[in-house]
Amino acid sequence: MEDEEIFDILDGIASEETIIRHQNLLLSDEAYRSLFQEYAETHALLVAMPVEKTAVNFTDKLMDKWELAQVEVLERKTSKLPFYFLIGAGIVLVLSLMVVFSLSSPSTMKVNLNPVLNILQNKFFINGLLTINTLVLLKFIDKKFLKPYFEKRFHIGSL
Amino acid sequence: MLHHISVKTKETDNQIIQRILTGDQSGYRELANRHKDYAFTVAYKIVGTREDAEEVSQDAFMQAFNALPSFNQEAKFTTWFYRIVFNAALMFKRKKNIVAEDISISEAAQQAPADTSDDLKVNEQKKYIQKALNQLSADDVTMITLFYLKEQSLEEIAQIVGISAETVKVKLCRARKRLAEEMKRILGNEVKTLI
Repeated sequence: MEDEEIFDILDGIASEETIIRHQNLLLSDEAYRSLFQEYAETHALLVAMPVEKTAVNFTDKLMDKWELAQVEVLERKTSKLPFYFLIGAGIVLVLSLMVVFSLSSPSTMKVNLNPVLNILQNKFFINGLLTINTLVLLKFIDKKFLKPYFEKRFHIGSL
Repeated sequence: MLHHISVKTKETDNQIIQRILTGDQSGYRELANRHKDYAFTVAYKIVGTREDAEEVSQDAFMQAFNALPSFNQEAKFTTWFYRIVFNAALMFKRKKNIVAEDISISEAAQQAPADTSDDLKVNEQKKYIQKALNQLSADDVTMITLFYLKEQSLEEIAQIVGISAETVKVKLCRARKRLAEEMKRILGNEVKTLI
């Protein structure tokens, strides 16, 4: 009898022919009986093997780690700010140079800023801009303070 | 409220993942609570100590959480996740080159006097099984652990370990045979030391 067939018997998936052969061997072969007993005992111990329990604070520790990792990711993302700042500064510098050179050149160009100033001084434009800024500010407060606060409360409440 | 809770408990892993991906942070905790014991047990059987097993299983969860956006939602979460646990434990063992030590066994022995006779028997059995498992390869231990603890099918174990189901069957048979031999050897030595 092959080892695989013995384990098939123990797992309850052996064919009828294998089971009959096994029963005959149990009656006639002392060495087989001893081997089967050995495998059966190990199998029984493994079946009874308990699931190990983690430490009580396992999930809390994991969540702390996860939140910390998220913050680090966020910081890494925001660390691109200096790069954007440099790009912005570069654009401003180039534009300034262009303006300076154009002013210093003999052929100056007259620019009519009145339409732009009219738009900027428009009451509807200012109100719209203020509304958008308020909404952005509220969204920021909600994301940074209110949402984390209520999520935390919800977690504690659900425990 | 009760209805809400009962609906939540019926949720599948993939539904929780779906919630996480749509921004529900509470799903992470639910996934962890659902699978921590099995992840810890698989890790413990491979690395051999509770402290290391906790580190490995926490690391596996972190890896899984990070990789959730790339998880194929048609697949079974546990198969995917146990593969991560298995690899994390294997990496840890290789990195630290852990030699099986009897620290946990001696700790269990120190606790023994406070146990009832049933607890003592269970602890003894755990002790010998763990001691024997420590002598097997990580592959063997994983297959035995998954097969017996979580009652995973051969196909699922094959996906976790990354080999064919036929090979798993052969390896599982060899692993159990080796374990039986180790148990016999350990118990033989114990009897000798008693004499």
